[in-house]
Amino acid sequence: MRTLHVRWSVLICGLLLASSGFAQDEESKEGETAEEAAEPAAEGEAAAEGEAKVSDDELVKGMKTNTGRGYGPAGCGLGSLIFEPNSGFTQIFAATTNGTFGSQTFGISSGTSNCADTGGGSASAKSFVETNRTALAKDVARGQGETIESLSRLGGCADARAVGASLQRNFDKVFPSAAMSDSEVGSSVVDALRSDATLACNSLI
Amino acid sequence: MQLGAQLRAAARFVSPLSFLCRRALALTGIAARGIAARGIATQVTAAKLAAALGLHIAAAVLAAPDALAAEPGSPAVTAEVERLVSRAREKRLAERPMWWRLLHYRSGLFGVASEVDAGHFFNAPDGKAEPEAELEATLRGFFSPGPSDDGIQHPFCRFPARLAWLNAELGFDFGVLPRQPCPRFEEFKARVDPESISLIFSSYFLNNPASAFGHTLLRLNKKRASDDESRQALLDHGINFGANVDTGNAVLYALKGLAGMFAGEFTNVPYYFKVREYNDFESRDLWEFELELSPREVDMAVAHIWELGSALFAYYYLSENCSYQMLGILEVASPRIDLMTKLGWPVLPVDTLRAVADNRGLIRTITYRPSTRVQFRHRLADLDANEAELVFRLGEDPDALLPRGASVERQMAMLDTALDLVAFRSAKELLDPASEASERSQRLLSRRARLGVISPRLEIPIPALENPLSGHERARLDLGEGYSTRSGFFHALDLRLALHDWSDPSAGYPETLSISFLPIRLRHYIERQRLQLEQVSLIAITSLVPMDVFDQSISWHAHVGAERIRDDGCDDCFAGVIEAGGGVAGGVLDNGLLAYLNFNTALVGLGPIEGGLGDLPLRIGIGPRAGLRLRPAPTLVGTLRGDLQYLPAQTPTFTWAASATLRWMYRHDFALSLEAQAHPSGESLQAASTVYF
Repeated sequence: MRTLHVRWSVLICGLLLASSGFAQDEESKEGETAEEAAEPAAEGEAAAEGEAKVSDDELVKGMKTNTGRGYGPAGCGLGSLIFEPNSGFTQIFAATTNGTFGSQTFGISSGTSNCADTGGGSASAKSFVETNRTALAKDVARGQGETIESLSRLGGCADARAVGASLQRNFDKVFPSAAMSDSEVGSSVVDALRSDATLACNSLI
Repeated sequence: MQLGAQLRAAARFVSPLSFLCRRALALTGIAARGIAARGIATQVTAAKLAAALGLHIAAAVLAAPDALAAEPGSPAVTAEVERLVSRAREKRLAERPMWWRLLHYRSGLFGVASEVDAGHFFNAPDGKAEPEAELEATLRGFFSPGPSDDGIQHPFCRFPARLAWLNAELGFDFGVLPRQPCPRFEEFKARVDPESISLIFSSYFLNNPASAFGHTLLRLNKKRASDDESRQALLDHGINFGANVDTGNAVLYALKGLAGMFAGEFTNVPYYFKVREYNDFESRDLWEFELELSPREVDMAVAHIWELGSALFAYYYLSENCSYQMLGILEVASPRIDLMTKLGWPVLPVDTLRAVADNRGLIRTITYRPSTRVQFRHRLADLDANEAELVFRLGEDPDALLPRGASVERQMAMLDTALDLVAFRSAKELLDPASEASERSQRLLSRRARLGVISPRLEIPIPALENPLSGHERARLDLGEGYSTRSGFFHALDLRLALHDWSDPSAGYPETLSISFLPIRLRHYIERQRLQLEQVSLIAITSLVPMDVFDQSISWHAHVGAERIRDDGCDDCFAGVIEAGGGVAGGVLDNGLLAYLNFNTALVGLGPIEGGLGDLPLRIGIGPRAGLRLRPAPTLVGTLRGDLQYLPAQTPTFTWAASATLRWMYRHDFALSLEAQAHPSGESLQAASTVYF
């Protein structure tokens, strides 16, 4: 019986050691964990103060672009928001997208962030395009779709179908290249809607 | 709840983290009160000076008494608050179910404890364990001067749901008591602006352990400006509960997730994020259940969501997880809704859905939002073989030539299908504008746009058999009899805690998915008078992806457990098993017939094994595993499985196992099962009555 216990312990320790060998970049994350664990009260406070305290330099914990840079409040593209695991072992488990999309940006009490504004107007339309870029491009190519209807609502446009037709006609101008950043595409789409007076996108003026 | 909850409550009580939390709250509580008292003295002095200057005598004389009367901390207010406190004590409000729902209190082995672990959720230093102290501190907190730090909200604004309920129970006299302006809460309400709430279920996703059992979130559906305006669900706000995962190490991830060592919190994310994440990036379907709630209930839910923004929970993967927390919000919305009592252990998202469905009339409508992969399959079904071939080519080369005679409609259909193909197949690469897939997608999009015609809406009927509510319950019990050539007749008992394996009827679950959590198999051999454990596992997963030209993802399986080995190396001995492998799968007739061939690696140890590797009681085997599943009807399923293993430098050198099952669900959640097994040392046959619960 005893030897059985010993065997199980050795097996489990071995597994733990082996798996920590797989993990990379653990030090920065472990440091954050220890800090978080020691000050849970401060954590709640920080969330409440989120709106006042987040600066342009502050990075959302755990969020990285797929180029390895941190995400700041400047961009809403999905590519910069999806958590990119860099440990080989966790590549088997895809991005943990069920989790928080970053509580500093999307905390309940942290006020309107750039990327959570659905109230209408240029800023919210631009954020919407940035996040929905690939789906919107597909709908525009087809001339209709749910993202076009939502965009039309945000822009205060008169008729979503007219918006779809107009954007489809000008596809190559509005989406000139794949390499264009999400932010530039956002501006491009909003400008296109604004400049076509027949669409009457009153919230974009 | 049951033993699991009680053990957790106990663990939380003694955990050092909880102790630190309580100390920290105690310190901040004491500090805040001290500073506030000094602040009030300064204000009153200033008011008296202004009056003495003479310029504002009239205003001051008129205003001062009223201002002083409504001043937090003034004698009139304090007296009124104490009156409320004693009335609350008389009415025993702290014992009411609604107070417990608001504070997330649970009764456990060591007494009462709130599931909230940190954050600014409690007003009393011992609020986590003392409902009465918390209620009194909350009442006093509403009309106190409040925290001096501008970053922390005044309790009046931080706890609008508690405020609403206590006001309804006690009747606050706002002629005497001061109101606080709550701009942040008002701004939040204006932003989410809901007229109804939907519970969203995201389907099973095995590539991510956090999503293996699905996921749920709430969606706050916005008011429409007019009735003929269409719903823009993308612009609604989703309320999500998730863990802050801070490790990339898989074992730590599992341990921390199970032991509640991740902090979980609520976030507010526009629904379009969730649609892009689930539908597009992960190719998961979304099922949207709109709930029947009155405007007042919706307001109460929103108010409680705001309160939860100040809370941090320990995230327990098997119990206090995403889906569990959604129910907590709905229970506060209305006393008539009863959800928590219907839950067992573990709590799976589908269980929470069922708990909601059990409240008659609570689900108003069901909407199905298919993933990009499903949309692609649907479009593909409308094309003939030649067109499908061209779609494949377009996926590789966006400029592939289409037949000269093809009408604009057919070109449109092919290009639209190809767009969905690229979208679901290259979902990850498309996130990077500089990738090759993005470039290819761009060319395809441009070509489609140049066609100039507008696509018709894609209408996909709701697949009733895939509705997660239509599935069998997740625990399964088989009771039956059998005969084994080695040991004679036996009684059999099989119990599986969750969720679904491919021998089960497939309604409500993906056909290609098998997850068995904590299955246990017992046999009592009659002649030998022996009760034997046949198998017990932690988890067994099989994920199949039927291959075709468009999808070549790998199928895989994994199993951790212990079972009885039946060959020369270890006859009838019980040993631990870890196996994993991958391979290919195929399906025809709408997955009515599924087959797979995987390469399997098995590690067997920790048992009385003879002839193992070297002199160790350890066996390593590699070899093929093949499986077949036939589903003539949703309620009738047959499976076949065979394993062949090569054991290098061990005895025996080869071993094999085979099994077959047949299950017929004659009534929802009741079935008859037949199982046959064959091993080198003998065969057995078992017939059982099955119930899902």
